[in-house]
Order: sequence, then structure tokens, then C-alpha cells
Amino acid sequence: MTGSHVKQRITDHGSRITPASAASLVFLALFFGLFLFYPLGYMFKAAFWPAGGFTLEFFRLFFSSPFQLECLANSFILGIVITALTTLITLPVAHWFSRYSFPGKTLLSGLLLVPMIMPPFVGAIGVKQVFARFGSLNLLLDKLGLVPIENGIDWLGAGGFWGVVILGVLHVYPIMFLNVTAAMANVDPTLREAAENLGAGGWRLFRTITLPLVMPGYFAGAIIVFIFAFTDLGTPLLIGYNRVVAVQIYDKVVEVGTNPFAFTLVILVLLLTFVLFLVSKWITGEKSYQMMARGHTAGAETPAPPRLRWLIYGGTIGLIIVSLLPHASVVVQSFASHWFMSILPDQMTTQFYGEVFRHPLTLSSIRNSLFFSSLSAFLDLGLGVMIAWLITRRRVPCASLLDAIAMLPLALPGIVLAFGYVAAFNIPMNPKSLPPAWYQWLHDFIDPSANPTFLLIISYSVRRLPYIVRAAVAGLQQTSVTLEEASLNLGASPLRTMRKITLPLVMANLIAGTILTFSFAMLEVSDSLILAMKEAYFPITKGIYQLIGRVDPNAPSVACALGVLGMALLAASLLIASKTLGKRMGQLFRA
Amino acid sequence: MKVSIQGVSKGFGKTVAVDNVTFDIRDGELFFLLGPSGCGKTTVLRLIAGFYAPDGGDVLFDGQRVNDTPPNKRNTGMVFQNYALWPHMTVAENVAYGLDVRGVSRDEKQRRVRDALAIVRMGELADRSPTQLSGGQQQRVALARALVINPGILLLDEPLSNLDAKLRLETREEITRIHCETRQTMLYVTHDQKEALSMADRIGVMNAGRLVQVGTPHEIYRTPNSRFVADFIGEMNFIEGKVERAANGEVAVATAYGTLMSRGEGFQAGQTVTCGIRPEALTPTRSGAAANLVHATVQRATYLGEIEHYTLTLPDGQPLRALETNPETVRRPGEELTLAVRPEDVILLKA
Repeated sequence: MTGSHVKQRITDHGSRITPASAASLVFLALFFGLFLFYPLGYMFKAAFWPAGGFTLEFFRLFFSSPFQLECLANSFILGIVITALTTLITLPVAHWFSRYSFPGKTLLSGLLLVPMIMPPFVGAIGVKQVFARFGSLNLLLDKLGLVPIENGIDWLGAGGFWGVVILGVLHVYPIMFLNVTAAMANVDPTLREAAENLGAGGWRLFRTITLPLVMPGYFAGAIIVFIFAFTDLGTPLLIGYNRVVAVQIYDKVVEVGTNPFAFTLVILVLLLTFVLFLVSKWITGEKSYQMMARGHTAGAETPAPPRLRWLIYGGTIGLIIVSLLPHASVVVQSFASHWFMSILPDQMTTQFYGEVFRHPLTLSSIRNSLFFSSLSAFLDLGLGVMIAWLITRRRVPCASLLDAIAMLPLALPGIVLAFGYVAAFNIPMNPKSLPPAWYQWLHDFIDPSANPTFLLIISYSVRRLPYIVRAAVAGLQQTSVTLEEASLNLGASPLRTMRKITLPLVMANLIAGTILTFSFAMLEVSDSLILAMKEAYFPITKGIYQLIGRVDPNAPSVACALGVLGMALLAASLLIASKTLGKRMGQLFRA
Repeated sequence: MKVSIQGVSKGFGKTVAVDNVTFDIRDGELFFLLGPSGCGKTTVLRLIAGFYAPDGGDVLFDGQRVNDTPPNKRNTGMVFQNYALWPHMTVAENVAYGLDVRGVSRDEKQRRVRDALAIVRMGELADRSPTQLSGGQQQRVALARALVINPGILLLDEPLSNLDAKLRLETREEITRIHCETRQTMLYVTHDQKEALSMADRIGVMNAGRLVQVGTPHEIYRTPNSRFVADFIGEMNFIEGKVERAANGEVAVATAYGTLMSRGEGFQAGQTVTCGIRPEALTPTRSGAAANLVHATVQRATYLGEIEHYTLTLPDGQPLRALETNPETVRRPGEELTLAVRPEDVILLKA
């Protein structure tokens, strides 16, 4: 009841546009126009109007090429299989964690999030070592006399398909887990009780009440998982499962100016993800149940009965162990001075950690990553606070449009945006003539082939903006506007009110959101692989990728040592984020 | 259906929510549990619905022990405080749910849903989503959803607390009407004494997990058995005294303000008692009788049209509240008044 009154008042008092909010809107329009819509528009133009006239020739070419269709199909199947498996794994765990209390719950739910701290392609190094044709597992089976090494099992299956699937599932299930748990916890317990009271129980209760009410939250998570799986570049590239669209697009980055076919690919991927995103939004939006009054029954969690408790422990700990296997193998590899055709490394050493700090590539990549990620996190913080403020407090006329645009990057695969940047901000230098100074400056500062710093920071920010906007909006919505009105009433200026009242109240959300954007920027694969072209500008992820590709026998171990350092950095920042945000962490991972 | 609560206790962690409570709800009765928030009344209701299992004692439906029956096998119909309508179903689907669970045939289901919605006057809105309904409308759908299954007992958990004052009065009459028409056994939980006094067949008053008194509204108001009940329901002036003599149902109590005559059995001379007098039982008078007169000074008079409220001061400074209906003169602060009270209006509470 009070909620509607408060909402009413906000609308009343914020219906005018102040100079400050007008300036912010203009700034945001420029930012999104330049770094979101211009690259997308550029690619649309290049795909449909490659030589000035409208043509679907390249789409015809695409659809008449069995190879391209196979790649598209493979990516799609990857997306479906990973999403389905993630769902199967997550649903029971989320059910346990939202309905039951048991000792060690906080610890376990924290451990369930750990897989997020490493890009899955890094895990691929370790996984290959263990599951490859002559990997540890087959060697072990051979030694035990179970399966002779000559006909060792092809664990990664179908050219690496199952390898990509497993790494993908183990990496993204936490996002689904957070979403579904939040959705389940959001279901008013009295809605279940009402059904029980009328005679429904067990499966019927779940099917008719819980499931439909959890669906929107599920879809919000599922679409993120699907888009990730559909467009993931690093893992297929490393496993060698190359017949997927992401790898095809990556291969064509070098031909950006010359081959319009690449744009066709990117636009197809973009349209597909966007349509799916809209469908999921539509399903979610159709069923927004926020309006209803909630019951006041506290404690929807009941203690788990002893037998169920063991099932919960078994299932959760099993899942955690399996999902940390890639991480563990990366750690082992980082200490392995010689690991070839043996179950475990023959010799262990810490020399690679020393090398990380001596090697020019690794050292600069750590520095670059920290620099890019912090700058993009702070840029996001500023943008996020600005957008959230305009949406929740100023109620500017185009608030819902602004909100939609800020959320758009969730539907935007990293490869699409990165590819668009390479194409749209290509500022070629003519070696024969001397360009004007401003042109030279533009080339040096913006063109990713000259210096990707600027665009890397921007692309990290754009891609992770939804998270910080979510965090800031949530914080502002939870803070009653009357607290600010009380400050204004006592004579404080709007700026002082913001500084003394509003910001301190939403600080936890902002800190957590900033740490998350920082962490994800550190983890970013597609943008980094595509945009960073010169070694001096490589971030950690591209550094690892580059090292693995080297012929140097020690390179994989150095890569893994670098990966372990990255993991430690991220684990620490995520730990701080979840400590600051607590249970509200789940809200940040929703589409 | 008759419901018996026998020595039921329920605790949450270290707090005891319900402490050895025993009472019966008769078949066809509209029974109220009344008490301040946190007194355990909602816990009793949820014990009957089966959402909690008692730590001790028994819950009986028509003499059958149901302690171990899960909530979905108890056939109770509950109206939740927040209504708990399922937002993903229409009004009609919400109401039909319990019938679906019971495997009622299509035709009968349609008929019963229609009838139930007609009883609560929501027939036209059957195809709406609950999110489109006002609070009062949601309330009535929740009522229909619980009634349609012909529950053994209808459980109402503060059903009017989310409605505004006008709607609350309307819905009160609505529930009373439905009870008269259906003679459905009902348990109604509230902290609003007006609801309880005006609607109940019988009221159980709870305090701090215990059931303090059970009786008709008249009994509860006229003969409260404790200072808590007397104070919680209506207003009451308390005057301490000592029994002078007690005989033939007449009791004389000596107080600091003179002798008060009262009625009651089982009192002995010398016993310390508290006399409770409702403000409306005190009437300004010019009589010079020997007993049941109290002298006080007007401190503040609040004029409410048909009634005048007085806050007075007794000779020793204690406050006293009184009412006068259709007052003959305007009383000014400082004015001395003599107030009379009938012996049957002096309620004796043992210390």
C-alpha cells in the first residue's frame, strides 16, 4: 500500500527535466550512440548495403554454404545442450538452497560460485591434459589395466564437442543457480501454503504453483547462459572445435576491410540472440508478479530432514568437486615442469611463477588487465549511478527506453561488439600522404590496430554496464525517497543530499557492482582476443591464449601460472563483493 | 465440523508461541481468537491448518486426531492475510484449483465456481487476473477460493487488516452474511476487538501464548476474568480495594474513594480485589446515596456530539475516565462531579 504512494510521489516531483538531468541525457545519448549503435549500424550497413546498394547476396551465400550452416547449427546445438544441462544440474540444487536450511549452507553456496573465477578456456588447458587421448585419465585407466592406452576413450567426444559443453556448463551454472534460487526465494511462501491448504501436495504443488512462478526468473538466467554458450569463443578455439560461428567470426577479423561475408555472420548471430532475448523478455515481462502483496510469514526455509540433508551434501559437494577439476588441473599444470604421457607431472617446480613476473608478455598483460579493468569499472560506476539516478529519481520521460538500452548489452555477444568496434573504428593511415594532426591523433588513440586501450576499456564497460545499473537501481529503489526529501526539507542542497544521504545508503550495492564489473572485465575473452592486436596491449586472457599457442614446451605452464594468479585476484574481489552484497548478489545476474 | 484443541503447545527456538491451549470450536460456529500481535493466535490457526505441528497436545477434527495429517489432507479452507492469490491464474482458475485437486467433474466444477463467486459477488470478474483487482476484490476471491471446497473449517487470518476502514465494515457484514447463509464453521483471527465483539458467536482471548478467557462477546465484555481481558477489550477504570463483607451474592468493597457495592460469589472479607468500572458505567448524579458514588474533578472534557468524554482526577490524583451520553450541561475543567455506578457494573477481579 505504502509502495504505491511513494511511487506516486516520485512521479509527481520528478516530472520536470533539470539542466543536470538534461546534460546527463545528452551525454548518455552520445555515449550509446557512438559506442553501441554506431558500430551495430555500421555492421548492418556493411552486411546489407556492402557496395551502396541493398543486397541479400551474402545471406544467400551463407545459406547455400553447407559449411557455414554446419557452423551455425553446431553453435546452436552447443547453446541448447549447455543450457539444458545447466538447467538439469541447477534446478535440484536451487530447490534445496531456497527451501531448506542445513549446517554449512553459506559456505557451500559460496563454493558453488567459485567456477566463475576463471574463463572456461583457461580450464581447457588443464582439461586437455587430463581428458585428452593420451591424457592422465586414459593413462590411469591403462595403468589400472582397465582400458589399454591404444584404444583409449575419446572423453572430449565428437571433435571436442563434449569438452566444450562440459567446460561451458561448469563455468555458467552459477549464473543459473543464482537466478533460479533468487526466483524461488521470491515466491511468496503463502502462495504454496494456499495450494497445500486446498489439498495440493508434492509434484502437483511444484507443477501448478512453484514452477510457473519461477519461470520468469529461470528464463532470465537461461537466456544469459544460452547467449554465452552460443557465442563463446575461447573454449572452442582452445579445444579445437572450430566449426562454430564464434571461431569463424574470429578468423575473419583480419579481413575486416575486405571480406563483407564476415558482417553477414555477425549480423546473423546478432539477430538470433536478439530475437531470443526478446522472446525471453516477453515471457518474463508477461508474467511480472511484483504487484501482489506478500505474506508476512517469515522463514520460508525449513530444516532439511536428515536423509535429504545427505542427498544435499552429496549432490552439492560432488558438483563443486567436478566443477573445480579444471581449476585444479590448471593449478597442477602451473607447477609442472614436465608433464607428458604421465598421469601426474614428473617434476614439480615453482619456477613458472617467477617467470610470470620476468616474462615481458605476462608482466605487461597483468599490468594491462588491471589498468583496463579498473578504468572500465570506474567508468561503469559513473555511468551506472547516472542512469540509475535518472531512472529511479528523476523519472525522465524516456526512463524505460534508457533502462532498455542499458540492459541491451546483455543480449549482445562479446564477439559481435568487438567485431563491430574493429570494423567501425578502423581509421586507416595512408602511408604516402601526411594526414592532418587530428586524424593522426584519432588513429593513434582510437583505432584498435594502433592502440586498443581506449576501445578495450569502452567495450568492457558497455558489456558489463547492465550489472552495475541493476545494482544501483536496486539500491536506489530500496532506499525510500522520503529520506532524501527529509534532507532537502532541512535545507540541504540536492548535491549535498546525494553525497550525505543517498550515496552512503546505496554504497554497498555500488561497491559490489563495481567489483563485479572489474572482475568480469578481467575475465573478458572475446573482446580481448579480438581487440588487442599488439602484444604490448595484451590483457591477461589474451596473454594466456598467446602463450598456449607457443611452441616453447614451458609456455603452457607459464600460461597456467598466469591463470592461477588471475584466479586468485578474481576470487578475492568476488569474495569481497558477495560479502558486501550478501544474498542480493543473485539480483545482478538477471536479464 | 467440530475442532478441538487439547493442551496444544508450540515453540519456535526459545520463544513459546502457544502455551498449553485448550478450547473447542463447535460445529457451525463463528469462533474468534482475539489478542494483541504476537500473542500466538495466528500460530493456533496455522496449527489447525497443519502448517505447524504441535510440540505437545492434540488437534482433533470431529474427534479424530489430525496432528500427523499433512496440510493438504486436512480439508481446511484458509484465507491468508495477504490473500495469497496465484498471480499466474485468473480469478476463476484460482477458485477452481481446490476442485481440480479433488477431481471434481467439469460441469460440477463450473457450477460450484460460479456459485462461490456469486456468493462473494465477484461473478463478473471471473476472467480477470488477480493483479488487476483491488484489495477488497482480492479479499473476496480468496474467500471464494476457500469456501468452494466446502471446508471442514474456514480459517481467516486477519482477513480485513489490509483493507481501508470503509471496506473493512462492508467485508465484516459480508462475512457475517455468508456465515448466516452457510453455517460454515469458521475460525477468525484478529486483534481488532470491534470485529470480534460485533461478529463472533464466541471469542477466545489470547495473551502471551495462553488462552485467557473464552466466552460470548457479552460475557467477555461484561465479565472479564482478568485485568488483561478487561483492559484489552474496551476501556476500564481500575480501583484497588478490600472486601468488607460478602453475603448472598452481594459484595461490599472498601476503597480509598468510599464503599463500592458489587455482585459476585466466592469472596471473603479481608480479601484484596480490583474493581473494574467501564467509563460508560459512570454517570454524573446529584444523589446522596451512601455507596457507589465517586467524587472527582474534571480535568478535560472532549465533546464528541452525542457523547462527552471526561478525563477526571480522583481526590488522591489518580485518573478516572467517564462518558456521558446526551450531556445536560457543558462541564468545565475544575468542576467537581459526583459519579454513580450500579452494583452490577462494578466488576470484581481477584488480585
